[in-house]
Amino acid sequence: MNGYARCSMALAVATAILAGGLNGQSVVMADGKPPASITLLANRIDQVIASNYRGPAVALATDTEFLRRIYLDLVGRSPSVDEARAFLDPIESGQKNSTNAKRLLIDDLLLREEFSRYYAKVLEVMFTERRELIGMFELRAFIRQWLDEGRPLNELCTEMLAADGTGEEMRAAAGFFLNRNADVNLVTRDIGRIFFGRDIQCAQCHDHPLVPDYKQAEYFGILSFVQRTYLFQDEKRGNLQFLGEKAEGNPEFTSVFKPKEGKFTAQQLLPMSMAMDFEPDYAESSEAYKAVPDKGRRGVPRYSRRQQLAVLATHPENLSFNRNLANRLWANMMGTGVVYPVDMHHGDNPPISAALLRLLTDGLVESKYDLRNFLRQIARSAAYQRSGTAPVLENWGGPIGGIAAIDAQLANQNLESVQLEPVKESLESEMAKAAERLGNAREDVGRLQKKIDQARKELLHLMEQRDKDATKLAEIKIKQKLQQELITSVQTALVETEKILKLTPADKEVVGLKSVLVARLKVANDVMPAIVNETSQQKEVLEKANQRVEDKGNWILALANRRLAFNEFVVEARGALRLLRNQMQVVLDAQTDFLGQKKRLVELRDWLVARDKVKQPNSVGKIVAGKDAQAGLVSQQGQILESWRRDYAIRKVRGLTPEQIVGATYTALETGKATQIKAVGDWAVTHKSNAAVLNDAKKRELFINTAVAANMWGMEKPVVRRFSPAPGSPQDVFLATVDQALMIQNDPAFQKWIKPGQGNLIERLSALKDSGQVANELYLSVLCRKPDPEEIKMVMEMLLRGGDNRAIVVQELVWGLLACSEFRFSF
Amino acid sequence: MRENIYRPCGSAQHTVGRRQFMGDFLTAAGVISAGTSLFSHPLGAGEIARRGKSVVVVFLNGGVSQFESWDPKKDLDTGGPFKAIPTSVPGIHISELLPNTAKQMHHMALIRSINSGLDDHGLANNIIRTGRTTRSATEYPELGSVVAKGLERPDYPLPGHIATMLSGVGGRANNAAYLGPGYASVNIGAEKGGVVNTQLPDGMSVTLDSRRHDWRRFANNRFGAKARSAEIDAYTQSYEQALRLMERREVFDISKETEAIQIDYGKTEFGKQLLLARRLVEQEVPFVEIQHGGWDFHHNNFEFHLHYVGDFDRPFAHFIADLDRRGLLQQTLVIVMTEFGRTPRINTGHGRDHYAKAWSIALAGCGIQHGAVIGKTDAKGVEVTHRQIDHRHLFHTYLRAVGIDSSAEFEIAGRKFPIADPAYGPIEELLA
Repeated sequence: MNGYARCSMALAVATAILAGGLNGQSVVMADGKPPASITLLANRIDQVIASNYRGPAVALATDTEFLRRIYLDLVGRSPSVDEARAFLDPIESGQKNSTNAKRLLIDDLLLREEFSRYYAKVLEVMFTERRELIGMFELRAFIRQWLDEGRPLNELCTEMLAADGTGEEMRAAAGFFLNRNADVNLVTRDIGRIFFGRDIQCAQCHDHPLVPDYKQAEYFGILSFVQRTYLFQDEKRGNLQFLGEKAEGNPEFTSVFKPKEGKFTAQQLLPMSMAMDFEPDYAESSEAYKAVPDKGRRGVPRYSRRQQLAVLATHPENLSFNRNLANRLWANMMGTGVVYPVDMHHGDNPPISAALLRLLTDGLVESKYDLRNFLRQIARSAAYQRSGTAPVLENWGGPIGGIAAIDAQLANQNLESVQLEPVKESLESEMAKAAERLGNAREDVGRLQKKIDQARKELLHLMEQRDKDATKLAEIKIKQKLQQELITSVQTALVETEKILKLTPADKEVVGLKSVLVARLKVANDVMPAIVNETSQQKEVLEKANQRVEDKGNWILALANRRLAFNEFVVEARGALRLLRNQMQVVLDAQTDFLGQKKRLVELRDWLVARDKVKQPNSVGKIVAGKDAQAGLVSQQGQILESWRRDYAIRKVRGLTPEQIVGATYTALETGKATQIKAVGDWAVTHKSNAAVLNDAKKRELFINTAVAANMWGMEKPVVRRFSPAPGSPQDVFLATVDQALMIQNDPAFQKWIKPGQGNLIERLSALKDSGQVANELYLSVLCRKPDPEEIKMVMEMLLRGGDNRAIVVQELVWGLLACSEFRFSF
Repeated sequence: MRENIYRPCGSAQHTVGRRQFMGDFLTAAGVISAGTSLFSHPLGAGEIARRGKSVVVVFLNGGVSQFESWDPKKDLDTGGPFKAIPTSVPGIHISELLPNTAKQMHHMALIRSINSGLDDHGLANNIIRTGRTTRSATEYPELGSVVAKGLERPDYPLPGHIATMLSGVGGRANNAAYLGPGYASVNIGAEKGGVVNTQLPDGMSVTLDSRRHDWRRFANNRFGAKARSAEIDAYTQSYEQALRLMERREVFDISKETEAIQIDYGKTEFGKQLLLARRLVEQEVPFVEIQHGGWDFHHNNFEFHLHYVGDFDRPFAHFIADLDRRGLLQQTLVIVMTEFGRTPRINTGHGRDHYAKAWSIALAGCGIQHGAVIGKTDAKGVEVTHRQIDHRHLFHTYLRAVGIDSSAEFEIAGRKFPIADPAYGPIEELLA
């Protein structure tokens, strides 16, 4: 497929979006190729890479180069001598063809327990960036088991965000938060970086000054998902740490550059318009919790924002997540990401090929996030298997059609890229409209929510009033009762007084008493109707108050139901916006690839023109170009080769990771041989009476590998510490520091590893009488290849010069190869 | 944090300080002041111009009092018992506890108007060292890492960022953040000299060592014919650098100096480290940090400052004078750094507590206006009254003084990082 065809494809894809045919997630092969699912991902990768490349053919790596490469990349070590022979001999003898042997080896390595073990380290380092050693083994074991069971990677990521540390089997997964002390800003930044490939750190205080894509709202969008999560130390469980979560709290932010714009309340928002637009509305705060946070109690809300995050962040619909994960896995295999640095996905740092990134992303999603399948496809691609040797450009005739063809392509490209503009503009306006619709819908909901909140306040007020009215009625009733009692008492007294008067009619004082009582009774009776009236009036008041409370309650319920209906529009608008955002990504990708292709063409063209100039003979046929012009050409040439490496047309020669250095050293030195032999014996002895376990190959492999890994840790810990970047910083950076070199040269521990003993390589080689054989074994063990005649000669000379001190010379030989650049790099 | 009660605040600064104080006090008695050494080697003007710049930080860990050092006050409430004395620059007065340093003031400058906001040891240390407002110690590289990167020269054999200590060897701190461990500080002991793993392994002869390296180079060349890259070069070079470093182990050994010179510097922990620093500056090491710990005097501030500033004054003044005499001061910026000042208020234990609102630091050497005093505090030393400065301005200023463009960015593996806080700039009027 040539560049022209690919450009048409990009344009076709972009145009198809407007016709409504695409959802922005899938790849269309506009050139009539079979649908994606039928062609293998490996082939499609190679097609895209080929379409970007115009240089001379680059061969595949040799079988030995491939051998070391694939072992390092899939199981984190070099092959043992036996493993190397098992792969190389049948090819050499013609029993197997190289292509099939490679396929079989890839499949074999992926199925080994060692693969899960190694990739658990790779992923653990990806998640924690070596932040803490506490819990590292547990987390690695957790991931290893996950991979052993072949479970999907995105769900692993879900657990890493969701786990709170409770539940024994899930405890380790909480490491992502616990290793960062659940520090809100740190966790926010690293979710951005590690899950979405976006380092939005600077957007904490203002929109990112250098990266226009990174908005403050995005930073606070992630933050609002995790802000309620906090570290809880449980005294009842040995002061272990867990994650608690609160049910309230919304971050507000102001820009330090634009303080006058005031405060914004953050919404739970992830990149690419993944968001939670509403949450349940608890009238009573006690309802919001399963366990209310307290000094001795871990808070558990009914509605957990972190759980929502865990789903949204890792859902197959989340394009940012997919792209980031695919890119990071690809970078692990290839040395650099399609986007590199891997945590800088943004417009100013475009993918080297957006089509390739899309392809990988779709491949990962289609494979249901199956790590083995995904890596298998990458490993099978020619891109992965390509040689690291740069092609010789001196005598290369240039691309077919020469400069004229490049010019034609460039012209065509400019034309097409112009055609893309209106597509983009139209999408931009669609997006603006969709954003407005979403804003309106959210506003509707917000307005209703305000009404509900207001009504709730009024309800509280009404209930208060109702209670007051009820109290008042009760008081009046008591008053009426007392009045009635007074009347009754006076009446009783009057009856008694009349009885007395009948007996002593002349008693003036009693006469006087009677008249007093009569007067009192009258007064009491006169007051009574007013009180009765008051009571009935208050009853009415209370009834009304009750009615008001009920009405308000119903009103709130009605509003809540209306809000539900409005929510539907928010959901719909959010979905529409997300769809458009994904479509826009397709257009942006097409644009990226136009620009990328243009850059490639111009670079190649400039070099060809410069080369012609330099080679131009003068009138007497002599080449007269000056030194500067020649040097300029060489540097241009270097840049072109570098670009081709970046385009995956030539394999990147990459430094081993700290874990790979250890794995390769440990294997080369055959340090683990004794441990392995012992483990094999132990297994046989321990399970000799239980044939079922004894012959369970999987369990046996696990047992032996665990023993070897434990033994290797003695080398792994100091070497990794010395060779890895600072904890908490990106770990995919190559480092060559003096103290590392000093360690390999003089560190007593390192010296101990290359002493003969325990059936190791030094011991084995020292025992060999034939110096040529020493050379062969030495190179095969340490560099996984055969020595060439010159190397054999050199080894033999050194052994000869060493005389009887064979073991010392062997140590020197081994040391030299362990310290040489070929060992330190994967070629 | 304010504490008025008579007890240490529990920080490491106290315990270290007490031990160091006792030790220094005993040995300081035996120090004899000496004149110009016979063994000084002044540099010619041409050589000076070609030399690489260096930064030496003398970090007074725990928070030195500005009143008892660079910004003495007459006020009876806050000034304390010590007087101000004139210096070699007319009009500048500093505490009478610094009589020797006062004589070097014409090489120095003072900044008396720092308001850095944070008065917690750990946080204040982070911000003053990184020139950023940050809570995390590892988020931004420290000054030493930035200087080591900014003044980096190809093929330079020694580490660019060195922290001296008395007897520690090797080890790399985690203070270079995104610049990577290559720029993190390497601990080098002033007493036993050297970096870890710079001695050949037991039983390894020099002949054997050179033979194994020849063999390694042979193997490198074979690979070099197949593959070339900057990373491969960096890796093979790291071994040659290691060898050169091993050859120059003696640089770290102050016993190679004459007895007279050692006595001039004073055989205190501090003096020994200053002497090592001078040796390193001679070797054009970009950044050296010396620690003088234990300045956190929440109680008996005056008694302790009497001894501590005394312990600091003479060796420090001698260090400046020696650098000047050797022509090194023109290429070296010396910073007397601390994490914050002390309170104007004298507490009931005669101590001063942490104070970040108005405090001072001193600079000497290259790139600055000598005899300059930046900023003022009020008569009681409570508030900055003129030209308020914070850690971010200081960071820019240090870098500019040694010729590093602090407004530029570092590009590390494709990521861009502003060298210093882009919202701030240097103290322009202080720069030479």
